[in-house]
Amino acid sequence: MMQQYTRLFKSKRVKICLFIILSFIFMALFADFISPYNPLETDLSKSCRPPSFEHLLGTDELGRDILSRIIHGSRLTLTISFVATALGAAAGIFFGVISGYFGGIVDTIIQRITEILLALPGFLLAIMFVAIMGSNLWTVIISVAISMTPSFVRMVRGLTLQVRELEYVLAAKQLGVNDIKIMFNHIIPNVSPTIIAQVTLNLGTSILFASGLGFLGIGVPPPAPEWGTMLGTGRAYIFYAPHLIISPGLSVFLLVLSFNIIGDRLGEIIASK
Amino acid sequence: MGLCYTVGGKPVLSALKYFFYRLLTLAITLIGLVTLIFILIRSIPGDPARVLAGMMASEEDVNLIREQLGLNQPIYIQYFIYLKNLFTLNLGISFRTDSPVINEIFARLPNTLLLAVTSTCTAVIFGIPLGVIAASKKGGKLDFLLSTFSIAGISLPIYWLGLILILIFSVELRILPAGGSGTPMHLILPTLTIALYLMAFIVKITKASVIDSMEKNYVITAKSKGLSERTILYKHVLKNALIPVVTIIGLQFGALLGGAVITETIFAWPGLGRLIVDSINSRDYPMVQGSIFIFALLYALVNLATDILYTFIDPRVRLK
Amino acid sequence: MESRIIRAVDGIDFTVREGDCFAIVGESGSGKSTLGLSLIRLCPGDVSGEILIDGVNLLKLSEDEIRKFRGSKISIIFQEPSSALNPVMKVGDQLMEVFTVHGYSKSEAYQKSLQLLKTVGIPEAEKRMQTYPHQLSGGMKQRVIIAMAIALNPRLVIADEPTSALDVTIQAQILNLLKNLSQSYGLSTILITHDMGVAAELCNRIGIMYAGKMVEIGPLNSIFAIPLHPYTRALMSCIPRSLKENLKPLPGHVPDLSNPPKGCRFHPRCPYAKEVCTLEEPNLEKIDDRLVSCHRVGEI
Repeated sequence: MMQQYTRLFKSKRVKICLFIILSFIFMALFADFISPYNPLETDLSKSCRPPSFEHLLGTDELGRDILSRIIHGSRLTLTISFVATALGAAAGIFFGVISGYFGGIVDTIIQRITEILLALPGFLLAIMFVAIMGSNLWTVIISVAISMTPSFVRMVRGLTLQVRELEYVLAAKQLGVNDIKIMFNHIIPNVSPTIIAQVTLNLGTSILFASGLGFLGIGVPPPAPEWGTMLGTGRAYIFYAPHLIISPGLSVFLLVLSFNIIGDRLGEIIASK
Repeated sequence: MGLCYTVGGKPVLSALKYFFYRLLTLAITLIGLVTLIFILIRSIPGDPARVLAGMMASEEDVNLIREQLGLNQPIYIQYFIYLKNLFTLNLGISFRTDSPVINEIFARLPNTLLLAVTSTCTAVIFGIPLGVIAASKKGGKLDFLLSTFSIAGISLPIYWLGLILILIFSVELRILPAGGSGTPMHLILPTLTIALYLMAFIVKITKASVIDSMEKNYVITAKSKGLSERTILYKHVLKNALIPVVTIIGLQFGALLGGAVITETIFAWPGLGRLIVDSINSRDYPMVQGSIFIFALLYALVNLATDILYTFIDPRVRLK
Repeated sequence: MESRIIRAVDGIDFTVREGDCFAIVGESGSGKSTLGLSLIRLCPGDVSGEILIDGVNLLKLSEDEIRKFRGSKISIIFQEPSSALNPVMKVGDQLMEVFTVHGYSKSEAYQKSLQLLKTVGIPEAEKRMQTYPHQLSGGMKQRVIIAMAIALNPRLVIADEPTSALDVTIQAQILNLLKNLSQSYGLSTILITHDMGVAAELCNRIGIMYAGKMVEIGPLNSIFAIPLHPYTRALMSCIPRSLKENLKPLPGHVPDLSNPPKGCRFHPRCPYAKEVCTLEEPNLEKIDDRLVSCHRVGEI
């Protein structure tokens, strides 16, 4: 198992992606120390300034320093991404394992609910929840988490059904090992490699969803420096201040790309096992 | 034997039964979804009429809602009124325009469908050949280039792509309109915006599927008959490889609808996606609810159509 | 990933005379199937040596030339009829392809394919031409594959475990078909099998293969009468002579071919092994009408 993961880091692409992700995590952790300005401080006399030595990425429509907003925004983006994915995956694993392991009526109920949530495409599901619950950091996190839960349930259930029939699991059951122990000791470790690859891909998707909501004006509300929200307000100035939309979009792209490349590579390694 | 669906040669269900079974599950799922919406809206603390009308609404509006939805009556009656209204496509009156929600939706729907068709076609026309090329040049420079394009396309935020396209073609080159509708020129940028993601995705799955098919035993049989690699790729591998691709493209219709919401907003395209965003921003709940219902219906119908299409292209699952 | 050189097949030398059927018998993992694919140059690895058909060395042909050979001069029947046919192409089209790729017109190909399906015993041939593989039973699929292999009356047909994936009753039918065809067409056949019984049914000469090497080659009758190599004896004892007699599985298994044992490759499993067997590799020696590679052949 460990060998599989060391194989991951042999790829040059993966190393670069890891470096990008770690840089953003570093920015998020030390935002207060490294950002040159206060991300919320407005100065209308300096609005929409192009990049200069004073403001490396320029200023926005309210004269706020874009670089500082990107740095602080990484905090929001990564928080949403990690928390939403963790919640979505945890719920997905919980219901997926239970559904696959016990079968019967429990399985039927969980599957019907999953189908209902899958009746809307993921992004529209997130939009629906935000539309009903209102927009703030937590509703965005919860909406994004819910939007990824059903596909996790499906995947984990499928994997559990396979593992459940493996001989040593059947043997453990025969010996009277209790179900919770079997799930933790046998089922979850067995399905975890595939889940890890999926979680990595979902870290990227959750960023796309969350900043997509922000872009539509129904995500984390302004003045918070959320990248999608920045793009959404910046697009009004596209004709004379295009720098407003370059850096937030590029940040989203780089981060999502990095998660996707690592996720793909993980998937390949698991498949080749 | 009458009409029969076969899987691996064994009859499973009669075609008509299968079709009705699918329609039934579709209806149940949709009822589930609208029930969920019903529960969610009513679980928000406070007067549901007030919640539905929004904080800024006048007392008059709130009363109108209360009446429209029968909110004075017991909850289960409310629920049945609600279901009956939805399934007779009586989606209520918009707060914003004061006209029936369904009229507004039907006025917008063709625009969204048009965008869906143009972008899917663009993506398929370019995506499938590029995926096949990547597979046949596996490990080469062209494959590397296409794979890089593919993963970048999948990771690109669609809202940013739209803005960059406006920046290039409308702001710098001034050859295409930045928004609006009416002429084919207006269609180009929104189509490209949605198509690029889909195309990147199609390149990826086509490549994987072709490579997978090339490792099958029937390829060795074909070689042993004396067929050339090229003939084998076009006559044997492609048809096998494209069957799963068609299904996956159908499933991607969901991502396409999600993309449409964003793209229509960027390019001021008068479709269903922009309608839903505008309605959320103006707290026009009947409109939000109605659009979500129609989106779900559309998504379900496309999935059903994909399933039926599948039975036509895969001889292993076929009407007898 | 590190790559290892695996000599799946090593130093094999045999001749198939016209109209003869030669069986290659061995356990799974002994390199039989690799040998079969190598003969038609479809093995992904490197093949060195000579494969001569009517004096033409297949290994010296260009990619284009060998392609013209495949199907017309040399053909192969695979083990798994269900995966060997393209699932989304009609049976008739797949059969006609053998003819069209070698220069026949469409209508000629159709007529010949129809005739061929009748020859291999498929009823309602016209209807069958229009069906997809999944609509046929395993035995029928194997008949189609046999039809493809004999379509152009090739000089050599390789049959790689042609019956192993089939039901027992169907196995007998397919064996009969192969027997009849080889008699009426005068086919030269190489039969690859793990089953001495199947070999006995069809062939007149057999070669016993172990761990990528031939250990005994000779006429069927004399090998069956007196097997000389210990491995041949072990294989013979695997054929149940009556239902009462139990199968005696050979203890141990075929060695890892990336690291074969020193000396005679069979010595770790051989009840007669002596010190010499662990040190020196035996050569094929001529004894009467056959070739045997065993140090102790005279003594046991």
